[in-house]
Amino acid sequence: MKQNNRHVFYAYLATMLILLWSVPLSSFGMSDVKADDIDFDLSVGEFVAKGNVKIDSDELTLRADEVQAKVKGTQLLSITATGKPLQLELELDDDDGPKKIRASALQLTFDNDANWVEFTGDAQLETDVARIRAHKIRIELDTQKIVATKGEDNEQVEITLLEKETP
Amino acid sequence: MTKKIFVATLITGTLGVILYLFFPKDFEGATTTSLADVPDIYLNNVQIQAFNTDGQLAYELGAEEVEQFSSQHKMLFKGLTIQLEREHGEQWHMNAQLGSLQPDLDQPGQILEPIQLLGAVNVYSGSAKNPEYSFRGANVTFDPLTNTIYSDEAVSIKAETSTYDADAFHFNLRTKQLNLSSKPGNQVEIQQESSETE
Repeated sequence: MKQNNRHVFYAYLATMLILLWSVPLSSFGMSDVKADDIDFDLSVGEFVAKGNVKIDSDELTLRADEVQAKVKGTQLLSITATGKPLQLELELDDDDGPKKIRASALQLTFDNDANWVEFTGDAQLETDVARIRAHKIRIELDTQKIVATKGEDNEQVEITLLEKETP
Repeated sequence: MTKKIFVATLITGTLGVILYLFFPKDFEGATTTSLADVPDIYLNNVQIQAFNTDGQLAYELGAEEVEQFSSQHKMLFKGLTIQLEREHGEQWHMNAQLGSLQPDLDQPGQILEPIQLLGAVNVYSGSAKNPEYSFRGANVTFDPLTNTIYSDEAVSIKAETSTYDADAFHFNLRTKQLNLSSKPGNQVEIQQESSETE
């Protein structure tokens, strides 16, 4: 990529990046939630967890200050989490073996029906192939697409492609 | 002769001092038992039905023994069970070894004040073998007016496939709103049973 093209690429208001990985996420499970206080509406399966929130399952680890979530059994239907920053780790299994996604942001939103996860506010995401820093990063789970968007200020999307280790 | 009288007086005086120092306390203790500490009504195998102001059955209380302390406005229950029915026929059961209640003297016919379930407490809905909700804790209060149970003691709750552990809780039997809180250094924990089948 030429220098000019690279500049234009970073300067645009929205930057689209498509990174393919083998297996899409279909849903998140939840096996353990810890927090200082939890208000749970058992009639609809909605809870608000506050203070040092930790959500763990086989495929995800979330650390946040506050989490609002809707669950059905062990399945997470939606999450809105906030933190300074929150930390998320996803582990995905596919034919090539386990793959990890690590992310941090001020806010995370997950919608199981819409099938996306969105990180907002100083969002940073790292996959096996790239490290992305932007105001907003959305992972579209069904199309296996990552969309990074810059904020209203002059802050740009920053993408670092990582060299894949060869065995 | 004078010497004998003196010795006898001395012994009598010493015994008198000993009696004064030690025995009066026992007598005092025995004679100051307040009638307030003695129940003035004692009942065996009691069943009480309490009704709301609108005439609806609020709950049914059963106890192996009931002692009423009128001067303290207090009732004590042994072998306490409480049953109530909520919306859609949902049955709730509460068991405790002991319980206490302070009835409202202005409304002696109604017993809608909070009932303290003391010691180990078990609260569940549905059947005992397969409850929909199950609370195991200690010193739980049941408030019939607000349809709530609450405690500042550790509790373990089971609902469907989840287990909830906390240092204090507040639960609305009607809305199913559950508030869990922890003490400093602890955390509320929700654990999901694995639904995977081998």
